[in-house]
Amino acid sequence: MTAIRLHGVCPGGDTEWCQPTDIEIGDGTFYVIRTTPSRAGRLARFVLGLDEPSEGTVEVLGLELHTANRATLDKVRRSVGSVLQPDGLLGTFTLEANLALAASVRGALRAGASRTAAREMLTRCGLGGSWRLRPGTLAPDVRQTVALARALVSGPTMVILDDPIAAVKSRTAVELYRLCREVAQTVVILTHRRNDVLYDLADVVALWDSEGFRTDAAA
Amino acid sequence: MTDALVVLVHTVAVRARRAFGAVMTVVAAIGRLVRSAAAPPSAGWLGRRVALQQLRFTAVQAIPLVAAVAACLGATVTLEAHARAAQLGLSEAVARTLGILVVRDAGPLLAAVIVTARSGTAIAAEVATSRLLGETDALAGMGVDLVQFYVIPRIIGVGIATALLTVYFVATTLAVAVAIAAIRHIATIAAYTDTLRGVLRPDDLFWSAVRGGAFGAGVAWLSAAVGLRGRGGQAEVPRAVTHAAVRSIMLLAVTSAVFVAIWS
Repeated sequence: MTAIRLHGVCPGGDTEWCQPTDIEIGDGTFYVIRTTPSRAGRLARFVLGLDEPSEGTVEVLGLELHTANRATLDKVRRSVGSVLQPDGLLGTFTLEANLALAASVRGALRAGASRTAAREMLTRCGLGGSWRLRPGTLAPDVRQTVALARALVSGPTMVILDDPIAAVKSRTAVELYRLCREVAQTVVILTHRRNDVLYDLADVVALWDSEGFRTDAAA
Repeated sequence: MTDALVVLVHTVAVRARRAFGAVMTVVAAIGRLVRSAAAPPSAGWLGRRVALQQLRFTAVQAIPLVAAVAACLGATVTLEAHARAAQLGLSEAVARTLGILVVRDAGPLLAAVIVTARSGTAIAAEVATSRLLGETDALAGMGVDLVQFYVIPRIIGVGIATALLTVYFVATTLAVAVAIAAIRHIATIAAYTDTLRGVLRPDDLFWSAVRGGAFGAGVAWLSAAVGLRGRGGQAEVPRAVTHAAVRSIMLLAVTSAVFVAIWS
């Protein structure tokens, strides 16, 4: 099964992504795409159904998004954990509430269970005891870790992460990437720069620039 | 002559198209609100928390401001109107008019104006900032219905808060009016309250609260919708605040006039 399939996709408008692009990401892979922030952001938004391309089709977890009704779109979104840029952590809520919201929406958990899941995931990400903090008080690396924890808290089928933990130290980053692999079946990471640590963990590394999208088997 | 006619027709056509566009925007927003209200809840317990936070901010924290405005209104009307009316022997008529005016019209309207200034603008700024910081995209990407998370809890919170503030506003205004009338020997407390009882029906205060609640819900809906509609960029936040305030005041003025026309 294919986790993500883009066929002849072109976003339209004034963008550097002007060539119709085909991308196919297999189910169960750890897939790293090195590309520009603009392309990465557009791709993540297409996969989540937040934007529609002007040309081509987007298929996620076997469901075509351009023909999907609202219920189908919600089903896809609740199966896919994501980190976008900016991270969109809710500034008025605690870290626990930020993760609990994701757990209750995506994982359909009740309030108590979603809070427990939130604390467990924060602890697994090395942030145990910081439940009551608010995102505005955090250092950039901690904030990125929290955004990643929010993407993983509901145990999604797939995660798509736009440059998720660029500010986190290499050793911790490796542990967090391993956690992604442990939690989600398919991991898609969009990175904006060369990252050897990440490449070592990946099944497939792709480069996507003005010359097009091309893959290179890394594992 | 022909040129002037062409310009006139063009101007009318452009304005008509704009007006039609504005009406369609409102219709679409109402449709979205109804659809989201009917859909299964996606924001869960956090939606309830947002509503409670909004209720506390709009109702509890606004009490000193509402008390100050209500006291000023009660004192001003009593002192000014009675001074003139006493010369004409119309003191009782002033008490009656004040009772009817405050309970049926000014109470809900002024409470809603205070809510617009304090909470409507805050809601528009908060939602527009959320959009700017990518919070709305993150929530939508999770499958959260943005109207259920941002709009409906605020309609509920602000609606209930404004209904309560209306009762508080009316009670404070009348209490201050009665007190000032007694202190200045315009009327005794018993005589003033008897006059008010004579002109007001028992359900007047209830309907006043309902009207205030409806005004508050309208202000919250407009403010949150304006905040959500921004296209990003830092200028969007002040623009959303201004639009929310101006449109809310317009909404209150028009609906208040409609209410008066129907019930007077």
